[in-house]
Amino acid sequence: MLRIEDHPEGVRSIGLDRAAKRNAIGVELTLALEQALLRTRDDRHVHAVVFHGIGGHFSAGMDMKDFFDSSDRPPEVLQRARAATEHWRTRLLRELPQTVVTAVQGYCFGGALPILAFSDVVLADRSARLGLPEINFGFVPGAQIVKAATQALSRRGVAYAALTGRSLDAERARAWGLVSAVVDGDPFQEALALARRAARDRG
Amino acid sequence: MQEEPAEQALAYRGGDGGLAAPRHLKATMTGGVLTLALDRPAQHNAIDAALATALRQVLEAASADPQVRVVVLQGEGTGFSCGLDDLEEAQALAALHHCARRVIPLMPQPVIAKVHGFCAGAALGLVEACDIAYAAADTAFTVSGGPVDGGAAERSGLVTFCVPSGELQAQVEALASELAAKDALVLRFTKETLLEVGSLDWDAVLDFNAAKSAQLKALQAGQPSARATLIASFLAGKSKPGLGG
Repeated sequence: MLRIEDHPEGVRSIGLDRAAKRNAIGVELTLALEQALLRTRDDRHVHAVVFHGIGGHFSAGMDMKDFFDSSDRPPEVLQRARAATEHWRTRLLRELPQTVVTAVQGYCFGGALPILAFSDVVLADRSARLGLPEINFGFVPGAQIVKAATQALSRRGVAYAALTGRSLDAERARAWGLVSAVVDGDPFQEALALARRAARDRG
Repeated sequence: MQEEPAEQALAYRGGDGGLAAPRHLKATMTGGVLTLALDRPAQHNAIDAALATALRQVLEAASADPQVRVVVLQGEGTGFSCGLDDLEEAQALAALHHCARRVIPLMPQPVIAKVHGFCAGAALGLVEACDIAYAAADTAFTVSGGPVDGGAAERSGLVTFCVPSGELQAQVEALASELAAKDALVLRFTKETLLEVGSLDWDAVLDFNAAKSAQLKALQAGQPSARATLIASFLAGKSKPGLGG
């Protein structure tokens, strides 16, 4: 579900690893994220964190089969998973003391946006497509996701994304503040390099 | 395969047909899209009391009309609007202010501004109030720092998109049709969420989310919320909640 690697100089990378579902965040992945962020927050040997997605996409957002009305998971499992999601999405990400760099390729939608909103730097390659497609599925985007989006996106950008459900390309996302820079190489390698420099600077 | 004839744009007179013909404002409906055009082209669409009042009345009627799914706001002739006709005109200013600060942000339908030619003064506030705004690249915006074009207006966030003037009509039309096809209730709730979350802290936003989800579920089930039923019953004298009735 997650590929966590510790690199030299106190850089930890956390990779969403569910490529078959374009890293859609389901029950197992959300629980793993909560655990990973809890441990990382309290780990004084980690000075910088890099988020990325394995398999060509960052994340397609929350797993609809697990989290939306038609879920066949037992209610107590869903309750735990929902609590974990709110925990990492509205608290843990904010509480990370490390410099956070996120590398985006492919899809980055909905419930994955808070990771970008709480990052210090977001690098996207030209394949990146970002947005809030919830409305296309007949759902209202969660208020906490919209709030996170308002931290990262301009007022015009978040209104457009949320109301139309249209995805933004990397350059548009950059113009509207969601992405720091569009890169032509592998954003993960560049993110690691940036994180190493930041970790070094922290001393 | 036969093509469906394009739907005719019909004059809009409110959901019940009772709205008086608006002054200096063209209001037409087609396919759920209500197009409002400021219509004083010889005066650069200067907004006087009659036009401001008409705009407010039509927008208020539209907000209560489920047939209206999207609103597009534009100007007839060579531009959007030069602003108020008379800066002393308190009634025009008040009505315009009300449109920008209350009616447009609070109405359930998304409102798209389609700006070309020129846009100045109080008309800027109207454009800013719209949920999404498109401007032709060669639009002359008169803002406090000096005149700016569509590109600058996009960079500053005054509008959402600056587009080549030849593409303005097509892009707005395509977006309006897309929005008109979306679930009206979901659009309304999304717009409400956008309005509220900025002022909520992280704990309050979770409560807000829970409340909105419950409200939406009740509405989508085709039943009014239990609370609404209880209130209606009480007002009709059929029950006395809390008094054993």
